Amino acid sequence: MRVEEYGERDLQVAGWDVHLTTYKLGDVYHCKADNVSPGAGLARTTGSTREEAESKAIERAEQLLSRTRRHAV
Amino acid sequence: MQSASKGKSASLIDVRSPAEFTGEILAPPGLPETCQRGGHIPGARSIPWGKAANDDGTFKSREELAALYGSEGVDETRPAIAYCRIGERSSHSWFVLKYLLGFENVKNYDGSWTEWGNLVGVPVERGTAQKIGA
Repeated sequence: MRVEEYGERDLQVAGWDVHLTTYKLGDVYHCKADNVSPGAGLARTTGSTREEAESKAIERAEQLLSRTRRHAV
Repeated sequence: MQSASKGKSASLIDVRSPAEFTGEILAPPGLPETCQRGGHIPGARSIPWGKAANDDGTFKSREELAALYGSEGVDETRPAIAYCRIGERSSHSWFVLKYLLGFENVKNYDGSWTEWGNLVGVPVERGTAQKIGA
């Protein structure tokens, strides 16, 4: 199998920068969301369409990122 | 680490993000907050680990790396100790200092902020770092 429809994009989720990497492997779309800095993976999801895989990754990333609190310094 | 911080016997290098260094956040966005307190070890310099790399992921040149660390008072005349949250990012900086810059005495504080930020009785500095020499 070879990777098809590879793409990357940045977006904001719950007020934080998120980097999405999406590609198709066989009949399955894979998506990875990372937190840009330091680039730690927040979610890896799959779906039958790009939209499905990405929406699952964004949903999971939002769950995790919404727990990150900002403190007054 | 306590003696190094108190006695300024080593260069302490905090390689986390600036927001973690100041105490604004306790962990990288979306990751577990593994400490009770935010901030940094007194005397530590903020040199995020990614600054050692170019945009394409390759390491910066030796000259650029020496300038990066030297600008924060880190050179091979003193022992250096790198730390982050769990010792993972700081292992990258340890490699840079040990093998790309050739420092003889470099350590990675494996307990990192997850240990220091939970220790009872140790000092924590919040906000930006003191200027060198201040």
